[in-house]
Amino acid sequence: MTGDVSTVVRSYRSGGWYAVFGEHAAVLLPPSEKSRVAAMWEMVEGRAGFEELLDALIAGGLRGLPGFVLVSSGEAQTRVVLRGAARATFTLADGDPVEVDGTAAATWVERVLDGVTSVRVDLEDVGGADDYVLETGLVRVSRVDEPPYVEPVAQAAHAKPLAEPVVVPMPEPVTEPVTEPVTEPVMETADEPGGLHVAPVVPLGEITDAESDAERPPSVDDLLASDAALADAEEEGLPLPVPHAPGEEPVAVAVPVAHRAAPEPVEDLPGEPTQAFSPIPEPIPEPVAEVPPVAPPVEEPVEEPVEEPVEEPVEGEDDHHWPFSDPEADDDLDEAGDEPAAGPEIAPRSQPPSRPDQQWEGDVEEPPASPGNPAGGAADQVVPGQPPAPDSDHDGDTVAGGWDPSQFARQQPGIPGQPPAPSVTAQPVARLVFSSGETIDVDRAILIGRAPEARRFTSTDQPRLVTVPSPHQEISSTHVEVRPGSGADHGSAVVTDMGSTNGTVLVQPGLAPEDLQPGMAVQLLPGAVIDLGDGVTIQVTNL
Amino acid sequence: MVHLHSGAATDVGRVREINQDSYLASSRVFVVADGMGGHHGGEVASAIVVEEFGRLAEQGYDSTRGTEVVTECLRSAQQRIRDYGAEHRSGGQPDWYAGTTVVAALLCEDEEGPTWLLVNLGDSRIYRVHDGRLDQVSVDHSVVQELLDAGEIDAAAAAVHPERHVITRALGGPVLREPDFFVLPLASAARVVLCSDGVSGMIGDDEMEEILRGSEDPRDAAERIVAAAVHAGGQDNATAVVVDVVGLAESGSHDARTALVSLEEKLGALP
Repeated sequence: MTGDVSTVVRSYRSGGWYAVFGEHAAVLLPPSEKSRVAAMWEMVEGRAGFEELLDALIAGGLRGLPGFVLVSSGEAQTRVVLRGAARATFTLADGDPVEVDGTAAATWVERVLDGVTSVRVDLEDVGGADDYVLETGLVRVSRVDEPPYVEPVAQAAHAKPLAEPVVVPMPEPVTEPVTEPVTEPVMETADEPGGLHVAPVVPLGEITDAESDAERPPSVDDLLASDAALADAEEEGLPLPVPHAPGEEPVAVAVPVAHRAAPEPVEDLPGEPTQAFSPIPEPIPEPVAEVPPVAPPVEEPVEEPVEEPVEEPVEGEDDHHWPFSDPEADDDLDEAGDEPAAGPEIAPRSQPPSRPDQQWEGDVEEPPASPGNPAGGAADQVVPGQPPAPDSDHDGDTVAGGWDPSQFARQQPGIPGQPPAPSVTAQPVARLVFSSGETIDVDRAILIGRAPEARRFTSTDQPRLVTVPSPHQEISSTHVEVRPGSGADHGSAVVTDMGSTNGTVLVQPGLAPEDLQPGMAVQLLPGAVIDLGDGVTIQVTNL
Repeated sequence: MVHLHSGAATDVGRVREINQDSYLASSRVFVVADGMGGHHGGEVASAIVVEEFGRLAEQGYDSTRGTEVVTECLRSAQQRIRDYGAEHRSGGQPDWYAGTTVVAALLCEDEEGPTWLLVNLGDSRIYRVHDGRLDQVSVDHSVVQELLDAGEIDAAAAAVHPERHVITRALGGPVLREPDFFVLPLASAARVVLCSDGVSGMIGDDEMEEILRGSEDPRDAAERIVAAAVHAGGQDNATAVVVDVVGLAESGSHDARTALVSLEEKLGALP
């Protein structure tokens, strides 16, 4: 860790964890904790201290937070708190490595270290192999190095495929003055249609306002949009950080780093081979200028599915087209929850995916020799959204491939922007005591009503249906759902009014009665009473 | 006592030369499968899935474990279709392939009594009639449905969308796809309609509702629905199965449910 006034630079590798990097502190959260990310960003951006951040992290209790990493650097001290599947390795001034492993502790591990010269945090085994330099900002990571990771010189030759549009190699050590203008080439690129997919390298100190608009790393926008949750997030009012200094031209998209106009750098990285690690503007214009707008901008493909089908062969054939190479086909019947992988999943359709995309692995376990794919062996080259090969068998029956249903965000029950609840929990999270005397444990979704119906469930998440009497028809056929909560509600039950005609009143202990908003899940406290009308109440108790 | 009365009809339509649809209408298990594939593959695939469900109908099944029973049934159908395809491909027909949609309705029961267990894989449809209204229960596994769900297109655009026959899940592909299940109280679905897209693609819900309203006997209803689909153009094989729950007042009230349950108990319940 570097000193407290200097520009802290780190590098990261892409992954599923959320990383909030501030000037003095970094907070890393596992993929399941997305709902906390925006708040953490605000705090980190607002220079909240170590204690404040820790308080905020554990405010909802430890049980609901499966893992996190909090690192803050002070004058000479570095403090770290780790929980869950994360491991940090510190190198001290005296050369000794100190390893801190969250998995070793039931609650968390805390260390205070002096004279830290570098730290590496490992979060996931899978993740990108490329290191991106970052100063402050919000990114999804699998590994973090501070100062930035540099490959041994012998291997420094970039083996990176040119086709990879998003990757810019780690900056080489450069001794150029930081004031070297980056602006021009970047500006040019920004005018091009493909100008957005610039490497997520963020030489913060050097970016000017003009640049920051055009050239940006994956911002909060991108990150949220990337898992198709942007709209949800906005609905929720999830704040997208748009930091900028007073008087500065507002940046349209969140570029968490752009407000640091003062170029700076090198001298302030004490005790380090600063040239190697300083934020270097030099490499940026080149990749940017050189990368032709081959890959579509991240946003573009979203609309394409609508138009593309026109190119389908066998137009006018009135038969099913059948996606043999279904990307969603990761043996659904065995599938558990799935957290969307980091980054935009919509691959460019005009070229093979330039990076490994887990969604496609194992899809085609037995490439079928379909007319659209007569060779049978090339199935792994199918790209989402890519039109299938022309049909060679016009007998009126044709298969088509390549549609990626994950392109379409399906409406999930539950809270927008939050991961879906685990369908069935090993242990019930609460017990419902009905006014009839019946008791039911909440270990799965429970649908309660006059004649409840379960719609569109899978073989592994079958809800339980509970019928209650309603002589005056005040209770709707499917009135409320109670299910184990997820995210911030993990470990407790949540109740959702299913759009009932007469509504649901919830009385939580110590709180005024509340009318449930249809579709909005509310966490249930022990002692809560759910009133469905017609004299039917449900009391929530601990087990 | 719950009795199920059913009727079924199928027609090759006016365009196709062969009928690749298959259906099953037994006492407690009802299926419509819309096969696809060249060299008669589609017929074979839809016949296989109907045969597998037919085995459930003949041999009985644990009606309290409906989703497991159905999942197993789909697994064996999937395996048979794949094996059949592999055999033909290795036997000199490299482009042989087959798949099928499937919609099925099974009489099952949960803690509170008999229910409909409905299952869907593909773009065949399940409807129910409740309070005289036709209500689509299944959600198509189709590109167009995905676009609809995503708000990219509206229903009018969906009806003429060039990709409206592209389905996103089916039986017979490389992996078994997760079907959608639905559970409805019998009282909320006193009439259930299963049909292939040769019906739902040719006549609208309004027309189908009208036909169903005017056809007290489910056999008449099924025949008239299929005839209407053929009359409307018959672009595809058209198949419909209509099932009525009889001896049960169409009511969603708890009292009716309770009466039904106790009656079931008296009569020895379901096998």
